[in-house]
Amino acid sequence: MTDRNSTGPGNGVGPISRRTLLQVGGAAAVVVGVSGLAACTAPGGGPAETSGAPSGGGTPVRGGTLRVGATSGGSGDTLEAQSPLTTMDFLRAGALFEQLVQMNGTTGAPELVLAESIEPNADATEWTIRIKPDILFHNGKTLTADDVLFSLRRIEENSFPGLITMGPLDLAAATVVDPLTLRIPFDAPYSIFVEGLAGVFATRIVPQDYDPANPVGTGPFTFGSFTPGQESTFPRFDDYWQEGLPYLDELVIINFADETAQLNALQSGQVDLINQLSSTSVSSVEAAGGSVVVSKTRAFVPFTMRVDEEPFSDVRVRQALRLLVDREAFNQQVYGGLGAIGNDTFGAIDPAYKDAVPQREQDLEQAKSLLRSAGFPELQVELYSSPIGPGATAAASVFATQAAQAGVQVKIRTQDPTQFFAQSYTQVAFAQSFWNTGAYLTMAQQGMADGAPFNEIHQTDAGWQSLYAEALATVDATARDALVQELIRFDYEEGGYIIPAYFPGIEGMNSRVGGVTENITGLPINGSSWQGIWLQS
Amino acid sequence: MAGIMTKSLAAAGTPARPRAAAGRAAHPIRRLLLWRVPLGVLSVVLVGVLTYLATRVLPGDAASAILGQFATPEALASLREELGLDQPLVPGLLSWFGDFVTGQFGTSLATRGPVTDVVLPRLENSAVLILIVALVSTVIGVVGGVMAANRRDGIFDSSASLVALVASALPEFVVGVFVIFVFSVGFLDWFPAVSIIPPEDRIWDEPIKLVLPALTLVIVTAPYMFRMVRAAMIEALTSDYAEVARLKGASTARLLFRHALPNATAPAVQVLGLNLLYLAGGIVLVETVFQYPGIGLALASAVQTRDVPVLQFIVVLLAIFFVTLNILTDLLVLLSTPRRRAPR
Repeated sequence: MTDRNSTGPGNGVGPISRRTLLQVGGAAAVVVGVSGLAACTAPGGGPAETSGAPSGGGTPVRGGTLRVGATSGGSGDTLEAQSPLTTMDFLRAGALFEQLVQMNGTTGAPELVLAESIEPNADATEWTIRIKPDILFHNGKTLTADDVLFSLRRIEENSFPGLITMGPLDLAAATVVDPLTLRIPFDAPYSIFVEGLAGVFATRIVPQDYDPANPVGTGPFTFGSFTPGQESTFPRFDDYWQEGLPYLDELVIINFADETAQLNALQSGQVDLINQLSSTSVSSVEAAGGSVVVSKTRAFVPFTMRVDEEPFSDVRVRQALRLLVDREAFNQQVYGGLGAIGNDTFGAIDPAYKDAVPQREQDLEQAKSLLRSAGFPELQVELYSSPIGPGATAAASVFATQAAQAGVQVKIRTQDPTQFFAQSYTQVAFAQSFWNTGAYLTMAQQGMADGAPFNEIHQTDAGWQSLYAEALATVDATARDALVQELIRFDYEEGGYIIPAYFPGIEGMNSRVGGVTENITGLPINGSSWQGIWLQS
Repeated sequence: MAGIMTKSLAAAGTPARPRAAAGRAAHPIRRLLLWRVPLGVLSVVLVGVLTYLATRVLPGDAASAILGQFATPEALASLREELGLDQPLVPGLLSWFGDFVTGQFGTSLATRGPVTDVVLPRLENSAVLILIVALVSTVIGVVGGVMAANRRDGIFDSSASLVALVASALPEFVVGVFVIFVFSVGFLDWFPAVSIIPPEDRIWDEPIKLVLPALTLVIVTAPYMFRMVRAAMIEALTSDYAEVARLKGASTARLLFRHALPNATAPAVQVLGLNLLYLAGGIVLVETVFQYPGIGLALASAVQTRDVPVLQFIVVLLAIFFVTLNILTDLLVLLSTPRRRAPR
């Protein structure tokens, strides 16, 4: 599986977060703080803090070198803190750096990491970030608000992907109130700043003298060595701010070109933990005495229909194609039944998502009828597919097979990921894409709002855009959820996405590895957090 | 592979042919060198040019490969400028050629470090693997071929011929998976399944990790040597002069090693040359199966990331290797065939 871009757009925030954020401290005060979220979510995913089924039972132990075999890397590997591109980049960045706030692995809700609180003013046109005291960088310096400002400015100056979800902030006018407090004005109300910072887009904090060649962060591991396409090593950071963590003495991340080699290496004891496995590998790992952690993520490889191009410009065609999919069979055939069923809209972890729309089921007769009325009784479409995410090319085949039952002929054009992203992505009428777990508004910001960089379906509906803008300016959580529900209903009826299923995250490990838990974010291995993982001696 | 081998065999086995025999014919060796060396240089240059053109024609470039889904127009433009990808075709080709000739092999677009830093350590690892495989498969092929020819249609000959036939019919990655299963993760836990080593090490620092990749390639290449030596030996042993030698009371050993084996040298050299050529190009799959840190994996990665300088450097190195080896093979064949090395 060539998962070149398995860290595509998408970030997330969940129900608890927004409600909590918006209700703590009165109507106007939005507080994410120790009093709210942090109390229930010790960031970093130590075994006590995360739900799911952790691997390797028993008590965590200190020490040992964990050897991880991962795919998706290559000679273009980077250690860049704020613009990791591949899954392997995220695994490395998760060892060295941390964010102010991140997605909780169980719910997807924001949980505070370096920040103690992130509060808006009454209309969300100004946000105040207060960071935790006494957090050290690997070079011994203490984290300050100046470092936070430097980090956010660095993202802005380099137009790193994190900028997309940071909203209309005015960093030139930002002020450092005291060593631990930063105040940032916004050009327009922006009620989802916390969710934007929590996304997978790596708004990671680096010191003011950050040197990418010798990276320094606040993460649980320090920089040891890095050879692109081969191996990187990360010794333990002894002054890590979370007491008693990390458990491991050293983390070694090794590049693998394919899954078979990963499995062989695990079976022969050359690595301890492997990631991004397909469902067919589960039995191989278990037969060899290892264990598997399967995460029900809300990340997905959708089919994208351009709503401005024939035949998809006719909403009946889009509706028909969505009705062609037998989602249970799709999940079974593509993901071995380990994924979760999708329903064609963003925001599966959103509070507004639940009960917004009914689960869509396959209805071939209705699909045929819609196609006939749209004037396409014998529809032929060309689907651009590429191995850009788990099960992508298999998904295209299964979709084509299911579509054929209704007489729709799907011709699949498979391209390598580089060709796909250079020539087809966001260009062709019918293609595939990759999204990580996310909340509705932050995903819409990347994929459907005016100027969104990943507008794969070319959504420009004026009514939708106006609802979306209203939601961003709505500070009250309940009111905003109602708006999001309206947006979801629109997408469900008229949108350009087909999301048959969410792919599972599958990690295999030997019996010595403990602390690997299910994680909803779509980023592998505890959402790329390492401090909670241990090795039995 | 069989098809490729057969085709290449015919090509490599054909000695250089003089274009015109003007006046007194030149010495065959001089004639071969005078003709083949300039042609070889031309071939290498052509390979360089074609590789450059092919990489320009490929959809997508290093910037879009690196950025992938995040390749927004602004990000693409910025990275392209940083990587120098905005150079037009012909000036780009000329500057690459000029740099290459003067020993400046450029900077990897992916790692942003010198191309040589990316390629040379891996080249050493691959060279070690290829040489070991060539040596072992030659010894096995020659010894097996001589033994089989000596007792033609005996038990050893029949069984070895059958094994060779089966082995030569199997793709190398199937053999690779098979040896991993037998010697690592299935029956016997003798050797590591994959050949991952720390980047600063070379494969000879951990020779145990050479075993399975080498074994795989020996299984794939030795049968050709075996079959060629066996056939040449049988032909020699059934010839009139061998019969005469036998009638004159020559011992079996003398018959085999003094009379027959020298006649098998030329075909053996040809097969050795072909095996080396195959190994240089064909180790990509085996290196992938074993995660062997060699030039094959580097080549695959360079194609994936559209890392043109690395790609060109590797391809041109391989072209030089191919051309040199072809000339050397023909030279050795000429030297080991007395009737052809004298001027006519």
